Amino acid sequence: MPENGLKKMVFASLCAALTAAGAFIAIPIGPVPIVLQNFFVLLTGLLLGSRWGAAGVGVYLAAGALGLPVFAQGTGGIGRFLGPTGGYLVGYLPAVFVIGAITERRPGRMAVDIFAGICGSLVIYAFGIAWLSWITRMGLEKALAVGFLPFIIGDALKIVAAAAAARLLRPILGLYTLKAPIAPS
Amino acid sequence: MARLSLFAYQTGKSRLHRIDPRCKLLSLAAISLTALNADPKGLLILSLFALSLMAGFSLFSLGLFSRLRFLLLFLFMVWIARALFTPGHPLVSLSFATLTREGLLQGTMLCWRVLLVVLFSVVFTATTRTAQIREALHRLLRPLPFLPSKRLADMMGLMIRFIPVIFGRMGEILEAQRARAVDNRKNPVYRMKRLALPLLQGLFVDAHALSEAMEARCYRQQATPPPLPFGNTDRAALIVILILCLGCLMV
Amino acid sequence: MTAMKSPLLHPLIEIRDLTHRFPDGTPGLSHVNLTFHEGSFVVIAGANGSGKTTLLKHLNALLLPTHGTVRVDGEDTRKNPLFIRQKVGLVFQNPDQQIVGETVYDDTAFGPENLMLDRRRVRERVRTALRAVSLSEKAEQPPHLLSGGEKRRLAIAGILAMKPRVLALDEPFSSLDYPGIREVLRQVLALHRLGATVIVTTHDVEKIIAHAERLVVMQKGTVAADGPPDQIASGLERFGVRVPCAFRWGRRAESWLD
Ligand SMILES: Nc1ncnc2c1ncn2[C@@H]1O[C@H](COP(=O)(O)OP(=O)(O)O)[C@@H](O)[C@H]1O
Ligand SMILES: [Mg+2]
Repeated sequence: MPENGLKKMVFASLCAALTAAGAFIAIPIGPVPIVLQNFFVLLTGLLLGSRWGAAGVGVYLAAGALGLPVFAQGTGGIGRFLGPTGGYLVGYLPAVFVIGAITERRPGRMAVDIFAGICGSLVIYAFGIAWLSWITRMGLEKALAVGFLPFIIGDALKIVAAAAAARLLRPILGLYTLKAPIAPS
Repeated sequence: MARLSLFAYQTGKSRLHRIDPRCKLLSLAAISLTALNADPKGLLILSLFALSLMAGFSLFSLGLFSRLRFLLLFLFMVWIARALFTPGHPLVSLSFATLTREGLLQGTMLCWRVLLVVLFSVVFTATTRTAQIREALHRLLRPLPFLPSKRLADMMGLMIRFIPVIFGRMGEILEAQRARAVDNRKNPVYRMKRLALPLLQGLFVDAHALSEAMEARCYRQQATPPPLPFGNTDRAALIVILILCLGCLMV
Repeated sequence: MTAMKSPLLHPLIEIRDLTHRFPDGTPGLSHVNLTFHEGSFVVIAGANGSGKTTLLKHLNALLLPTHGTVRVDGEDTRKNPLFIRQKVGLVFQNPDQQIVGETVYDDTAFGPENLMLDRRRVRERVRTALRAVSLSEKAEQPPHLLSGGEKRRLAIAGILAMKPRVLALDEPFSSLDYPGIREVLRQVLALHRLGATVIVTTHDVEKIIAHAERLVVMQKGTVAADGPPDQIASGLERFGVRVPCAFRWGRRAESWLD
């Protein structure tokens, strides 16, 4: 196994598990509860880069497709990809790749991470909206109104939070050499 | 995980539990493809099959319906949207949309198909342990070149392993914070920070330790393959399912 | 049962001028020289942060020396990590972080499966290992339902199933209750009687001192003292380790098992 391969594989699996847990946890801030699934997709890309990030998200999606209850509200199954929100799920994969590819160029820079998060979120919504408007036959405008506009503020917060969390976690991952805040004894 | 697995797997020793997971996984794939392509008659046969499986192996439970609640709601919305926004013979005209016969028909068919796929995957996960799903995945993908099937399967196993750890750690941190009256702070951002950051830090430290433990136990890409005897019953079951699927597509 | 210990002092592990610096610059170990013989029972004591875990990780090539060498059975750990890891089994401090399998059986089988043994041999090894730590009855249980002591023994079984020559245990008694400590201690001593070379680290020597043949004291990444327990145990306080009660009163250490 290549240098650090096992470590990255375990971290990618943890990210997949966090994404699954994030689909469960709804934070009741304001009228629309915030689901953390896409927050963890962003974090996965920022922490693991394009290749291992895609592996983590890929495993998450595969587990869901095989029927393990890892999608929102504890559902799973290939049927979820065919449902109205299937586009968002599919979009996670290219999104995490894009995020990883951007952040790999300039690791550890907050502004770069935020830019990567914005690009990734746009990719997710591009897939999500396209599928939503096709499957429900509602026009693009309507799909945007239902599936994008209500989430903009929440997603902006998630992007900032993901960039901040990534900054804190990178030293633990040891993928970039910074001073470690926690010494596992 | 307690919550997750309660919904997913139901312990038992029924015949369905004992069938080789690869056989079940392939059947599920065949049935899903069929459900997405069959005509109403075929769908009817598949529906009867699904219902009889679920009744025969007593898989109807309260958990099932609460699990499907949100999906059913979504499907209902899809059905309405399809019915209203598909062009065709108008049945009822509203100011912003028209209810059409084609729309009703298309919406119903789409929802029916998706629901069938979901029900069959419920049957699959209710009778298959996650370890078996992982092993089946490993064995089925192994012949494909360029695809690291063992790694995929191992990662899925690790993911399943981490989920209860996440909820466990979250509970511990919440309790510790309640003891220190973090609850009293109103600012949600502050509270999130105090929960999420230690949680994530702890989890990644855990993951790092686990990777070292796996390394100490000589983790490798190749290992003794899992034992999965593909018996005659499994072969027969798979053939029956394939014939059923073909039948559904032909009628 | 004491017969299998070899009277010949075969140097199984040789550490020469070992220095380790972490990637972030933290010094971990400096100029450590130690030799561990086949069949011995060594206790490594030291305060938290004195470098015990770092030292153990060098024994099975999880960490490699920045300077100096570590040889296991004559082989440099830099050369062939997989070979080294089969010889030196390392049980980590926190058993929860080591569980990989969904059942006790699967978890124990993880090591032998990675060694590519065939199914039948894997089964034999798992059975033997689980019997050695008295967990045979729990083979089909999920590991997270085990008690603290049982989890620790499962971690040991996972290592035993790889048939290592050296069993290295990092803080095996931490966060265990009294019965848990006795359980683990009894199993470890039994393994030693059967011929295993055992290296145990601890910040609290009380529990195990009566059984040690040799005590190594670490301080700030160096070896501060090394010798028979009854000669150096009374001076432990200087190195941030609590002196066992018996030594304070000038008596011999008593086993926790009697
Ligand atoms: N991955 C790491 N990166 C940086 N410093 C570390 C790392 N691991 C341990 N250390 C430091 O090395 C020293 C020795 O740690 P350790 O061997 O774990 O001590 P012990 O096991 O005796 O408690 C400590 O000061 C610790 O902070
Ligand atoms: Mg330690």
